[in-house]
Amino acid sequence: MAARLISIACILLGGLLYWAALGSDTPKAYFFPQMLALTMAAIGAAMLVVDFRSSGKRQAAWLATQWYRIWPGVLVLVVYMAVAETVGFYVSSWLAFTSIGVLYAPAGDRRATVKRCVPIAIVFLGVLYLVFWMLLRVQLPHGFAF
Amino acid sequence: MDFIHYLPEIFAPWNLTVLLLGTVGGLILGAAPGLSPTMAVALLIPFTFHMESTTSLILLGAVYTSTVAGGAISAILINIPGAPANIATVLDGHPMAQQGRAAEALHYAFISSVIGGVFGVLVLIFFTPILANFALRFGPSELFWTAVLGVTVIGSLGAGSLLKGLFAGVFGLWLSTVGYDPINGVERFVFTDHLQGGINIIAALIGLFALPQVFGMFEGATRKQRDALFEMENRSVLDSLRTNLRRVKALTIGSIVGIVVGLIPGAGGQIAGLVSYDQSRKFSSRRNNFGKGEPDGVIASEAANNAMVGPSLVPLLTLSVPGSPTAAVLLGGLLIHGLFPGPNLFTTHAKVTWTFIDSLLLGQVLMGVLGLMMSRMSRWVMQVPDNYMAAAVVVLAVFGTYSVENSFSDVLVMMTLGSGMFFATKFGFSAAPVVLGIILGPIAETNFMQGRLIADTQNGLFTYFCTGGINLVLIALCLVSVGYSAYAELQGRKRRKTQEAESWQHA
Repeated sequence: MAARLISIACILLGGLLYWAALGSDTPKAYFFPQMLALTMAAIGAAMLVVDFRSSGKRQAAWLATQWYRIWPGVLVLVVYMAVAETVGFYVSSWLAFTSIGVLYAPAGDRRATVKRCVPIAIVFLGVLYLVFWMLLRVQLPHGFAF
Repeated sequence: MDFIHYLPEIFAPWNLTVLLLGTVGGLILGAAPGLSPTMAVALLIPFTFHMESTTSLILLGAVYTSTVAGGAISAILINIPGAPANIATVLDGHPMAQQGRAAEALHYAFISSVIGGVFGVLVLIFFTPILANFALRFGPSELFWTAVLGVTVIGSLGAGSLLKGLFAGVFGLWLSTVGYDPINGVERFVFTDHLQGGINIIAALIGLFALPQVFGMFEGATRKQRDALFEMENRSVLDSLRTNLRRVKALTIGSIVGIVVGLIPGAGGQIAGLVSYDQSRKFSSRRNNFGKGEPDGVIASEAANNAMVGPSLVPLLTLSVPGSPTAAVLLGGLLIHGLFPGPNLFTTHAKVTWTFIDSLLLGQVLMGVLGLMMSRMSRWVMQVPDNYMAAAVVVLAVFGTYSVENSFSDVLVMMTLGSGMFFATKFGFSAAPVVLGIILGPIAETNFMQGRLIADTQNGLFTYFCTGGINLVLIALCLVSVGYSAYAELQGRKRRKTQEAESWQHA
């Protein structure tokens, strides 16, 4: 069933992208993307036909994925992206590094993990500061906290 | 002999330093499980953005070469291949380590890598200019079909499912159309301000290759139990060298298979390693020892995965069609330095190109020497926990992407594409065809539109694109790659059905 839903999603995506390429004042510019969108829809249709003909016994990888392990990391990344420019690249990256390091540490004493992770994150960001600022001369957004 | 003419360029102090640093760094990165060569090269590209093109290509080439070989360390010592190319090395390398022959296995891995790698680079040196001259005959229609061939081959051979691989490739081509149309200059599909100017290739490369691996580390970080590290026995490198050179059959099979697989666009080191392992076992008088710690298994697979590196650049440097996913990333590295594959590389940019190719040759030797010296130390890299590795890759990806154009929009695009790719991998799609689509998209579109204009003044679209010797060969190659993959997939399904039926009968 899941495989069929993926195939239908592929057809819909192709259709949606084709629709997005319609109604322009300069149709020539959209000819190639339209061709690609139609090809995507056609491949999606072929996937659907193949899925109907196969037994469909194989379990999709997403069913075996332990999503509860991934979501905390996704949340850290979302917050990181939301605050990076305002807070500053270095401080927000340090917070993101520490959060991921602590959240995904092998089971054990949390306090000891935090104590180990904080200095590692500082050293890592220190090296990045040297490389990006001193060596490559890249000006990263400093925000209000650096 | 242009390659000899430009050989002294590598020995310029800065170039040599970069080559050494790249080789050492690549060996360490390769030894770290979870960091694939493709991801390592993708993460490195932003750092090379500010370098001179020769130096940056030397660095990328050195990392590509040595990450593939470095992956053998974790394959042998902890039963986890450092890169997909080292999967076959695990089969006999790890049993050798379990028997107290870890140092011997590592010696064979590095010595065979050097031998296979040097043969591979020699193929690159002698074949590339010939193919590049041939590419002079290519007009818009041929270049369009070449781009289609690249996407078709990597979509059909590189992915698990043919249709999903092709879909991913076409989606990548579509992604490349976001931004300005190359012929009319019209802005297309800019749904948000962050997409103005289109999708940055480097942001896409980093996001699509690095982030899915980070999410994979999230998934396994807290529960992964790695095998214990082995104490390494004392063994003379000379003894290993003598034994290794006597195993001519495994070395030859590994090198030839690696070279052939490398020349096939999109196939990559994993296929090279597995095919050469299988062939070596078939031709070996000790075939019963394979899987139980047979040195020939390590020698054949490591010779193959490094022999693949040089030839994988032949279609890349001449026709823009990468021979492996890492070569696709390297294509991104070439493009950001304004170097476009084709005959011009060997005329206008001869110094850059030949110095890069020469550095690959010297890099193979350095990789072997340094690998043998470092294998005892780099084993400790494998103990870096996944939580730190994931955190470091995320921060590096963000910093690297931002630094390319000082744009936070690129970072957001990188994060969005990477997260989306992780979910897509769970449904059986892979990143390599998408990346190749994004890279080859502008080539395909520009040449298709130019071809259309020419066709309008001649005998029409079909005649222009579908007739002529080179066009027909390229179309045939597209069909063969799709046909072969469809056949292999059907055979796989039949085999699974038979196995299922047999297991039911046994039950």
